[in-house]
Amino acid sequence: MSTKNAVATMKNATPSERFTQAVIKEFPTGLNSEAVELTSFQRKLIQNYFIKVDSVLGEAETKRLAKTEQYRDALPLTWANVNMHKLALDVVAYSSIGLDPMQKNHISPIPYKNNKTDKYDINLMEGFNGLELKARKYGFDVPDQVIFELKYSTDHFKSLKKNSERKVEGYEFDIINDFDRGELEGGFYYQMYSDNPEKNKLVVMTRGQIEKRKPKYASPEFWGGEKDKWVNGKKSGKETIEGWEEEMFMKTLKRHCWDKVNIDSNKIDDFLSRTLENEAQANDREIQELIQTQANGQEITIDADGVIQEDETKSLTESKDKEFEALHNEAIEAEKETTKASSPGF
Amino acid sequence: MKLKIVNSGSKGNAYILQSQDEALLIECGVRFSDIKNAFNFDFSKLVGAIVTHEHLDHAKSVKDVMNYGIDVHATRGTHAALQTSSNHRAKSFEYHKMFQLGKFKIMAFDVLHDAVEPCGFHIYHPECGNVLFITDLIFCKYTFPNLHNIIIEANYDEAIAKRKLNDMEFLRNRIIKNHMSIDTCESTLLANDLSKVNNIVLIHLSDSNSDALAFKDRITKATQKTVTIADAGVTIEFNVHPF
Repeated sequence: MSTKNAVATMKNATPSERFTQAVIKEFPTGLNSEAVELTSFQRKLIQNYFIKVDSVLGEAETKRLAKTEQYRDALPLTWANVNMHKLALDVVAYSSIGLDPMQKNHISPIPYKNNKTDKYDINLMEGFNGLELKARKYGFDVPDQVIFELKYSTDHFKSLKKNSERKVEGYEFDIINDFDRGELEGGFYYQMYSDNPEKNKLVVMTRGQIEKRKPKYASPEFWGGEKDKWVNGKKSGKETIEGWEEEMFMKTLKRHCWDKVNIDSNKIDDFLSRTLENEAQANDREIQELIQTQANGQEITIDADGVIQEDETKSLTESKDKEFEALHNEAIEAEKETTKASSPGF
Repeated sequence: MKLKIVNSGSKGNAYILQSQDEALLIECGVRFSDIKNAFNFDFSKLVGAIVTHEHLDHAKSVKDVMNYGIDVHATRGTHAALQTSSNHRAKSFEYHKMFQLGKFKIMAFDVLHDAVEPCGFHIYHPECGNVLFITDLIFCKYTFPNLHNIIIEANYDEAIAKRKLNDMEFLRNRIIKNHMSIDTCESTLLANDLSKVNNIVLIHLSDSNSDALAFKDRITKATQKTVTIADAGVTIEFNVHPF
């Protein structure tokens, strides 16, 4: 495709296509900088990132416009104001490990204004499902099963730590009263290794430890607590929100568990750093055809004096290749002539 | 003649053909300190280094080797990709043209790999006879009669790669488009006249998509020859005659 055509095509491209192109540009290439071909799965994933970020920007812009001018940020949340380079790099990294923003709690885009660049950085925050997926796919020494539980004041819990007599770490846990479990005190998770139970591990987190992990600007709608009350566009005191503390505690436990799994970068490295080609089936056929038609077809003899003799009998494929090459060259020459004739002469 | 494996695989490749009087370094894809150790810091017998292509696992130490006063022979394209063309120790060769380093007579030939101008080598020396060295390629276009020793890539097993890289499609595709499978390795060997071959050395096995023991077993059964897996530190007798 000529440069002119390429520019015209990009102008007509949808924002989704432009986004995909921007991301492809950031994909690592081989030393010879050959163009990257994405699999249909990767393309779909990148488009999902576009769709999600687009909707997040739309929602955030609506919220921005809903504020009175006094409290509103002057910079609109539009694609033009997004730091595309950073976003493309992040999409490359996260899509390569299979995190899909359209799946629940895989990964969520959150726009933050970067005052230095006067652009919005889109932070991609891994959700607990995303962390689990990453840990299971690329983790080193991943537990086979994990039990997560919340502990209320009436529940019976006792940890059974490993010692000289107890080879496997464990715990006692009973819910005494299902319908009135009392105050939420914290939670725990138990990582189990089927083949090697001696590696089983219990992690207990108290309320204090979980609250330490609460985000600085955590929304009271989720975590509970107080928030400003607005009446007719003006602040009028505070209101208490109950929130979803149990869910938040459980999410924190899960994040803590999966985030702690060491990632074996070797497993990701090749995946990330090299790039990538067609659908597997087409590739296999192409390679098999190449091998069948070209492998071991020509003999080279080198005698004791170092004289090289190459087998003169060229294979059918080779002569066909030559024919194609000649036709190809003819076509290029013809195109050059046409271009010369139609070009404005500069 | 001895073949010394400094290292083999995607983390780095370097091999030394060493006789009483002279030595040839094939590939510089490991730390230079590892090369120095392999030579016991004595490069007096080294007649030069030959490099198949510019990827770091084959050419990481090229500049250090040159700075040490050793000529590095590669195709023009490889030197250009490595940005070493202007170094006076950078020597270029052409495909299918013989050149000589000491008593080593070397001829490079074209292979298919995602590098600028990659090659394989046919190396002749009176002590080790005709040696075929091929790595980082899907298949070899050529066959060679009268081979005495063969150093050949056996990178992956299709079934293992399919199983392990099921969800990493593009990595799998990259491997099959650039490296030799054990199936192709076997058919390549059988397409050549193996009657005089003493050693077959399997190199550049993938860390995760190969099975060294099974590969060795398979190639031994198919060829009835002595097959060695190129593990770092291994030294093999590499002669024209088996005894």
